[in-house]
Amino acid sequence: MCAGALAKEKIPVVFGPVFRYDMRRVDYLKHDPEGPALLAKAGVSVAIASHPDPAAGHHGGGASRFLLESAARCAGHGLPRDAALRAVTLEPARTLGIEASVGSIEKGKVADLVVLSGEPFEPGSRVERTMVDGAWVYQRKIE
Amino acid sequence: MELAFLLLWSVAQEEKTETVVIRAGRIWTVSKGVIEDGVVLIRKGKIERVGRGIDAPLDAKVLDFGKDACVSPGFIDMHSHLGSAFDTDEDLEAVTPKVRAIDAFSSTHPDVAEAAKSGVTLVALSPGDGNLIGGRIGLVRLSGGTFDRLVFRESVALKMCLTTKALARDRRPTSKAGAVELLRRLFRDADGEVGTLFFKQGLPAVVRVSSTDEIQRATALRQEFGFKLILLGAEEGLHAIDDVKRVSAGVALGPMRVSDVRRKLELPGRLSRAGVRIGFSSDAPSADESYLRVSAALAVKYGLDRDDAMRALSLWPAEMLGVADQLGSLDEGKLADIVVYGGHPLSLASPVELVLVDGRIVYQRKK
Repeated sequence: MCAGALAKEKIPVVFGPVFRYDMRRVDYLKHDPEGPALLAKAGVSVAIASHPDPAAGHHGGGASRFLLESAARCAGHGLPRDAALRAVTLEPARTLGIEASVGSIEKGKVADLVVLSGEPFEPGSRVERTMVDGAWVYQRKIE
Repeated sequence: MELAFLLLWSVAQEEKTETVVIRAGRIWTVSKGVIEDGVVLIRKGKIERVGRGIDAPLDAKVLDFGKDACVSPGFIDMHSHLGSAFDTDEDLEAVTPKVRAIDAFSSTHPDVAEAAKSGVTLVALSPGDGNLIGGRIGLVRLSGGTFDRLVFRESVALKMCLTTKALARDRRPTSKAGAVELLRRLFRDADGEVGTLFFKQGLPAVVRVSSTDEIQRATALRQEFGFKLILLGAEEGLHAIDDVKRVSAGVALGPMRVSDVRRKLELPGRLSRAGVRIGFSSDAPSADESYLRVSAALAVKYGLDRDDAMRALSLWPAEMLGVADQLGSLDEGKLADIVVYGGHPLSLASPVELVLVDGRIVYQRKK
């Protein structure tokens, strides 16, 4: 792997998808969940993306529902948990050059927030509420 | 030279006489709840004791994984073509009950070694969906080593397919109606090849179905002839849930995908809440064995009870496949196929720390 060169040149990596979603395509394409751990260990800035694959057609778009699970899967394959959470928040913000306003909960940043029912990586943790730009845009219905 | 090798090899086999003690924050027995700060004592490939305050014997290898770690029985993949893909279906005949999936199994296939790291320890190797009666499903234990050691059961169920995949232009059956007619003819002959397997040997049928009408066709045949029925797939199972509950022994669900619609992701929870036993399958190589835990995690997010999810990964499939007397839970006397996770087994963020099959370490994570 060329992780060392990427780290030296300070080139960030957007990694994904880490789930296969077209199960019919048997191509042994490795969506290797160990990738982010190897990159992070070498000092590369790594963001995890749900990456809708064109091969998945219109179904691919649903994958972004599981961005948190994507981060969890990488944490289960060697990426430290805090780094996994950063890889779907602060790291992509930095990569996109918008870390001054989003990507972490800090004084002065835009209020884009998520309230989860439990620890981010605990089984069954769900999004209870979502706030964008200071306004609630989603609240989970009580079943 | 060869003799010396054989002697060494047989010495290696004796390693399973080793005594191992595993300590962890939570022991998921699955059969009898969770034991906090527990111990599992393994001797000669079997679970000798499970509980708290058990002293490690002097000769034991003690593995302490700490407070956050969880121990669970090895997970069971209910339908897979691991190491045998595309090599199990006899294309020219629709009814091949003597074909055994394990005869296409390659123990040296790289996917087999990879699967052993996933937390799955038992795989139901199955013929594909191309035939009405495809043949025997066998069980493989991911214990490393040679073919003979991996094969646990040569024949535990018969694979059938009621979807259009089993139909062909150039051989019977060519239609859904013809498929049912052929099956009824085979079942009516109680002394025939298929009849003997079902009615004399009591082998269950694992039947691939998808739509509501396919599910109802399977349950109707089950009611008429009285064999043990396990549904496979059953994507539209909610529309026939009463039939599924009344006559099936359970449902083996396909791998859950991140692209699946909400209705499919909710199916495991709804079935288990209705009292249907469920299990998961990887359908490898279309997914791999790590997707068993992914499937359960996604199902939990969409309403499957966590304890039921643990049962669906271990004890329920063991019961459906008829091996619950030896596998599927951490009970004294059962075989030591055990996995240790860094945290909750249903959290994808918990790494697989240790895999023990037959009391021997087949994988341990490097720190």
